Amino acid sequence: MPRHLSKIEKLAASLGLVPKARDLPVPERLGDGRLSHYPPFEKWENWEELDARRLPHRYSLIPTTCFNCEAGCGLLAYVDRDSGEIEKIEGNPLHPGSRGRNCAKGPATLNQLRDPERILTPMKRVGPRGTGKFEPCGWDEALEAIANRIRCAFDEGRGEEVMYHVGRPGHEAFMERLLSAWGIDGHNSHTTVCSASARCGYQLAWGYDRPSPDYENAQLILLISSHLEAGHYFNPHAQRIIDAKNRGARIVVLDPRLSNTASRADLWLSTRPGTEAAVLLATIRVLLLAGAVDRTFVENWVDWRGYLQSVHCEASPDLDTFLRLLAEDLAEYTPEYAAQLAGISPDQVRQLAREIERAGPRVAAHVWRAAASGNEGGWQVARAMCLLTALVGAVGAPGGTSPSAWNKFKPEFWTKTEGPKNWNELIWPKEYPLSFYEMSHILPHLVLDGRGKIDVYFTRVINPVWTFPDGFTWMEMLRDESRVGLYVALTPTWNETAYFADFVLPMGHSAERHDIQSQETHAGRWVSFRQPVKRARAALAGEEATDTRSFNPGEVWEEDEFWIDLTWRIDPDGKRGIRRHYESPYRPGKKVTVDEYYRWIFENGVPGLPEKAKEAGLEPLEYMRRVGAFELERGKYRLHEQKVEIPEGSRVRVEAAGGLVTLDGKVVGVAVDGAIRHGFPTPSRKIEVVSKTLAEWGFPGEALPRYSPSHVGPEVIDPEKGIYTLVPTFRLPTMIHSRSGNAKHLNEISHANPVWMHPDDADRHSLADGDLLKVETSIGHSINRVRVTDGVRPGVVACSHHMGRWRLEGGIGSQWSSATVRIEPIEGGRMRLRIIEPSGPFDSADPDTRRGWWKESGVHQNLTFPPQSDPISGMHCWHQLVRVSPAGPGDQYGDVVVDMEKSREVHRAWLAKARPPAGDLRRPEWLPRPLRPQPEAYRIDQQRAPDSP
Amino acid sequence: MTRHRTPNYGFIIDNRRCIGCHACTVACKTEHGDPIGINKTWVQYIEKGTWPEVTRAFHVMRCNHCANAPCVEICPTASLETRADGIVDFDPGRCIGCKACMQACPYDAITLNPDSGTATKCNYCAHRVDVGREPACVVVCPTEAIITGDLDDPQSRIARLMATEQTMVRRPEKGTEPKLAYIEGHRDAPRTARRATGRAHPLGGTNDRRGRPGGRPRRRARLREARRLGRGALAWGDERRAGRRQWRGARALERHRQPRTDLPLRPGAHL
Amino acid sequence: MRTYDIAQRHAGSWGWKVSGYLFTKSIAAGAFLIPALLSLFDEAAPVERLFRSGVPLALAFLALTGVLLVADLKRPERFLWVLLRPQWKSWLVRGAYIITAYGALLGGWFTFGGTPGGFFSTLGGILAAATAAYSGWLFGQAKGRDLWQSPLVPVHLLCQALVAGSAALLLCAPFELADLANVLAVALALDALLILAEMHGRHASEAAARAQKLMISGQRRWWLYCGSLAIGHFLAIVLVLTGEGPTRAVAACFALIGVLIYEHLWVDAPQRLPLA
Ligand SMILES: Nc1nc2c(c(=O)[nH]1)N[C@H]1C(S)=C(S)[C@@H](COP(=O)(O)OP(=O)(O)OC[C@H]3O[C@@H](n4cnc5c(=O)[nH]c(N)nc54)[C@H](O)[C@@H]3O)O[C@H]1N2
Ligand SMILES: Nc1nc2c(c(=O)[nH]1)N[C@H]1C(S)=C(S)[C@@H](COP(=O)(O)OP(=O)(O)OC[C@H]3O[C@@H](n4cnc5c(=O)[nH]c(N)nc54)[C@H](O)[C@@H]3O)O[C@H]1N2
Ligand code: SF4
Ligand code: SF4
Ligand code: SF4
Ligand code: SF4
Ligand code: SF4
Ligand SMILES: [Mo]
Repeated sequence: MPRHLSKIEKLAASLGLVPKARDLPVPERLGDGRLSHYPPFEKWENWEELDARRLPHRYSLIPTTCFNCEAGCGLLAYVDRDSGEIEKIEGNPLHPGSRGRNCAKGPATLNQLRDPERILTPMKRVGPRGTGKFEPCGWDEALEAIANRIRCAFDEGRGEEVMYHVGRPGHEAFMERLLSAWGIDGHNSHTTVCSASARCGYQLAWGYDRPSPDYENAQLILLISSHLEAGHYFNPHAQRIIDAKNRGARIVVLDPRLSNTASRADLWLSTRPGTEAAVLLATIRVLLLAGAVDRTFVENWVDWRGYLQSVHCEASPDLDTFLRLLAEDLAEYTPEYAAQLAGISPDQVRQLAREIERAGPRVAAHVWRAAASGNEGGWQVARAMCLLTALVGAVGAPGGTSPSAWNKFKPEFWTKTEGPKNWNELIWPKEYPLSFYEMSHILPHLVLDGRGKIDVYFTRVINPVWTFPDGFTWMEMLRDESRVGLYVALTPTWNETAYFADFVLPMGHSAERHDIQSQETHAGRWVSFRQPVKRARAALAGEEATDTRSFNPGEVWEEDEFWIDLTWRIDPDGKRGIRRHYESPYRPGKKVTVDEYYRWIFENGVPGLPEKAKEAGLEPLEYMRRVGAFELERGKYRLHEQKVEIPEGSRVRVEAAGGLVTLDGKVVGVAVDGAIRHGFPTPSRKIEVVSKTLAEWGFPGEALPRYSPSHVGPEVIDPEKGIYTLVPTFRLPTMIHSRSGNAKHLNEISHANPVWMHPDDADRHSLADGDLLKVETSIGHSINRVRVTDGVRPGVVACSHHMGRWRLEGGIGSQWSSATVRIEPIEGGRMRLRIIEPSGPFDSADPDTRRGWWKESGVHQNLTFPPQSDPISGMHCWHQLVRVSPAGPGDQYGDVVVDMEKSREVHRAWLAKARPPAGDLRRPEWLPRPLRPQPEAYRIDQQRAPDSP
Repeated sequence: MTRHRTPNYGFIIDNRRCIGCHACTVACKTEHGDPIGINKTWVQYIEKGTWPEVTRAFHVMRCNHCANAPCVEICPTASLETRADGIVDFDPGRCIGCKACMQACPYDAITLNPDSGTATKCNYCAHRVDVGREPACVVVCPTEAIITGDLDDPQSRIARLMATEQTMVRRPEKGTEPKLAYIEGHRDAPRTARRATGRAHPLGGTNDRRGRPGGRPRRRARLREARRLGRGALAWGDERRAGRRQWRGARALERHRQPRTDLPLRPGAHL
Repeated sequence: MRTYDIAQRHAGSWGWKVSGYLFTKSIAAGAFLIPALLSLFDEAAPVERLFRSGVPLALAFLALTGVLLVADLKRPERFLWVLLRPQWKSWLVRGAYIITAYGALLGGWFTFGGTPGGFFSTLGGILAAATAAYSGWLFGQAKGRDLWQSPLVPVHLLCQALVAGSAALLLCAPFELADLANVLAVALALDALLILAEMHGRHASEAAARAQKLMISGQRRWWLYCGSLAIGHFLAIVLVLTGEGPTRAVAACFALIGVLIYEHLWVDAPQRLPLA
């Protein structure tokens, strides 16, 4: 807009004393003067707008998928048509989950792409392992070394010594397919440090391992999670929760800490950690007594007959008896009892019940980590939560809670793979037949116990040395070349585990690699395409694009092309029968390209996509390149009621009592009001109140829903003596584990993780806000600052895990968020990690790296946690019983001291609680397993087990 | 249709929707390429009350695009100027770095860019508005808590909200007539100072097991709370002069608050 | 809660250069204003001599003022834009023109000389007064700092100019005029009253009250009460009235220091309050 200039200025300007007022070109204005969120789709290919300096740019807008958390939100990359660079990143308005919006970590993706300390070439270790010294090497050298080693392992029948360890993949089915093509049971994961507990609880109740709450249409949103700042799935769910709240829905949150979510709740129950099951059961009891249950749903879909059979065999098998007896069996769970345990008021329990009654079936409930992951027996919380939603008929209802699988897409492929024949006991140890899933967090202990060795170890999107408990033991395992032969880390940025690798291979960030992802963000099913946006743009412009490396910075590659290439090197001539799965479905015998890989999936594996693409006059692959996401269906509810097609003329058997329907020996459905329906994938095809599986697999005591005291419950803490429950599990909206470390704008906002403590407790130890304090666990201690706040309940201290990144003295690594540390043995056979140089400021291509104004970048508390494996779910129970005291004279901020012998003892103590199978099966066959092996692998006798003790 | 009247842009920040996620801050910095230390918009967390009657307020702070902007008045070189469409824009090309505007702004919305030595602040993403696009922070916001638009267009969402919801502005007593209005701006959370008695809360941890209260008088705690209150008061307005009610009093906004009959009044109806 | 949110971090963006500029400007203005005023009462001869030391003094300090002003800019090379790309509502611009005019007049007087009580001495007096006072309106435009909003500020600055002017003249032209001492004493007394009013008068707003509290609390209290008031004003008054030659010089120094201290506190304190 032209500004009015004074006469003097006009004169001065004409005399050339001052610069003339610049008038810059303004591209034509969009629309009718009202502001629009995004350019119209037609203009994405070639869009012109001004930058903040008012200089015009020509962009191509290319969609991809955010990878900073599992929500898989859409991103829209602004690729400058002249410079070819990604200038900014916004949301993708055509993405059904995120609807064009993002959390702080979405736009921060740009920071990660431009991180001046990225790994740009493959790196090879120099000097002994774990000294953090590397030198660049070529892709071929790395690939050959890895391929040879794997080939030889395969040929010598040591397949299970090859292990792929992944965190949160966002890589639908790719690796499961790869590993079963390789024929090895080598898939390791992160679930036992993440969500094993909740998965277990949900699975036992309704046969799916997680919920998909329909927040959008809910009347009551019941959260044992922090979905307004984190959670699966933060941004997509927060949008819908807030919409619902503004529509009049109510929010109830159980959380000992005032999370941002709790601060938005209508009812916040500040429960003592581990007592939530009691609160939920008390609520169920109140509802039962009030008769506030959905009788038809319970009649049809809750396995009450099973309950009466196994608990009250003499009782008459009818619904009313069941409801009466269930209430009686829960007799001890009065509001008063639950409230006294949880440290809340009985009225709050009743109020929760009232809220549920008011909402009817529109109860969207969610628990994922929180109480479940923190506490021994935490899976009972998830099961109670699931039963609660079932009793009020919320399961599968609009505004209720559906199983995740209904809203998640799974791709199909052009060849079938059979799955491994072996059972890998380093990943699935006998002791945990019911674990959800891979027992990854005790891997180093199993290896050190000599249960087996790892010949080739891949890590991708996982940083166990830092994000897992007991990092020192991980370091010990990784340092030992006789236990871990060759360690290959696939990562775009340095991390604490990669310091111990032999090869560190740079992989692209979310805008630099291929991938498809689907998440249950709402009552709908979508698939989102992650793609290297520069390559996509070239492809759309008709340019030849065959290797993602030629579009990424340096020699940064992508996983898909890497694995395909590696597979061909492992089986060059196809003799091993592996290669064929990675031959092109379009050019027989030729190596499949990523384009062909996704083209096939989009053309054949995504119902409705080809039609939709046709409408737009595009090929399915090009459609996904331009639009980025596709919604297969929306608003599908009550899928359990769907009828099962019985092939003509085949005879089914219907079991009288439960109504189970079998077709030549296999259960195909359940008979419910006059039809054969899918029901739920549990043994009874219904939602199970009592778990026969638990009874049969050694835990009769846990078969029924109950409150089983946590290892850190109110019974054991004693603030007077400085003994507290440490809650080391909460998230900041701005941080994502160890991924966001290289995003400067996120670091500026959040860069330390002080210990939250209630003022009463702080005063008891005369700790003032900001004082140094010592937090002692059973194996060591860490030194951190205290944050005195009313935002946490008395008797509980809480510390987020997001900060406290480190790099080795003299070693390589990111300086943004990482302090330089010295790791050394100290007296008493203990190890100490001490900060010798705080993180940043430092020199780099980016002037901002000199401007970090914060001195302290957090404390790595995870090192002080021993593995505490829940005997049933296998979950590492995160919460710690700690002694808190003011720091001593010798203590420094960031100090971590650990006695590794102790952590071995603690591991053994928890291992002793586990119960190996009595029968000859390794795991109940109805329980899911990622990368499911062939049936014979389930039989214990079946296998030569080199890796069992 | 293209409209001929120049719009009158403003902001509403709806604290019923804000979840304090900081996305606006990051989106803004990315859009403007601002260096570490410069935040045209930032999110303040303030905890109020005592456990368990405690809550956390999120205050998204930025330039208010005042209708009567002291920063513009004091700027010697018209580097800061109020555009016809109500946006208070700035031109680093004219700034001499005298920092007068930073003294003039009652909201601390202006910072000095270390690179250019010139003042900078939220400019409503004028460069985007000029091509017809919403500001970066608006587009990113997960919960659509930031509402922009033409206050003079009765059909615009912002005008409708202004007409139907209770809004407040920061420090109206300054007479700057801010055009950034907050819904539930200064959340009326319990502003109690901590009890000085040292008796723990009946549900608290100090009487967890033996049920006996503990703790000594909490002087520190009380001071801390007092400090927080002060912070709120200075940021939001001077209760001694403009009483609570007056928070809605800014004239610039009053204009738009004639009760409208054609609108459903149910909260959230605009969604 | 630094870890969980970021507040703006740029308190004190007007530092010692600005308080310094107020101080040098007071002297620059006072050094002409005093003789100009006296020329209305006293006989011409001594005032004439007073002008002779006052004008160069004023010129010198005005130059210093300019240097400080420019030095405080983050883009000093653009300082001329204040005059050449003016935004007339800004008192920075108006002030700049006033100072320029005043400077021009001083320059003229210095080269061609002038007659006390004549047209130029009156005009100069007015410009000097304006030079002293305009900052009052400039600070008044700084709506963010409630302490600076008081309507008394221009008067106060004028008064400080009288103190600074008479004190400075006492130092470099001690024996010119008996009245000088009395002027200083009166000005000091008046200034002391104004300061007390500023510090203890009921303040318009909470922010102002807090700034005020800041000035009379902690370290600043000593600077204000002992430094500025006790020594810089009362002791100075006593000495200047009772004492002779050197004692008066000491008194003058005290007075100058008193003014400097107060101006610095007054500029600094309100900037320390968080507004967001
Ligand atoms: N911003 C952000 N979002 C994320 C992630 C991230 O790192 N950052 N990580 C993603 C991943 S991998 C996961 S698994 C999800 C997990 O997300 P969530 O399932 O929400 O799990 P947490 O964040 O661990 O804990 C949620 C809340 O539970 C509270 N809590 C802790 N212990 C207990 C307890 O014993 N009882 C009760 N009642 N509450 C407790 C914590 O205070 C916290 O506020 O988040 C995902 N989303
Ligand atoms: N104390 C405590 N510890 C926790 C938790 C907690 O709540 N409290 N949460 C636990 C939970 S829920 C989980 S899921 C785990 C997560 O633990 P991890 O999965 O180990 O952590 P991430 O930081 O998500 O990812 C690890 C590494 O992946 C790499 N990476 C990042 N982006 C990419 C990419 O695009 N491609 C590839 N190939 N690599 C990438 C980075 O090097 C990063 O360091 O942490 C667990 N740890
Ligand atoms: S929630 Fe945030 S981090 Fe997670 S995918 Fe969406 S935008 Fe990315
Ligand atoms: S982005 Fe929206 S929700 Fe997040 S802090 Fe900013 S205004 Fe609040
Ligand atoms: S908020 Fe401050 S910077 Fe913005 S217009 Fe008002 S006075 Fe100027
Ligand atoms: S710093 Fe720049 S923008 Fe601010 S008042 Fe001075 S010239 Fe104007
Ligand atoms: S409108 Fe633009 S400049 Fe202002 S805060 Fe939002 S993004 Fe930043
Ligand atoms: Mo997780």
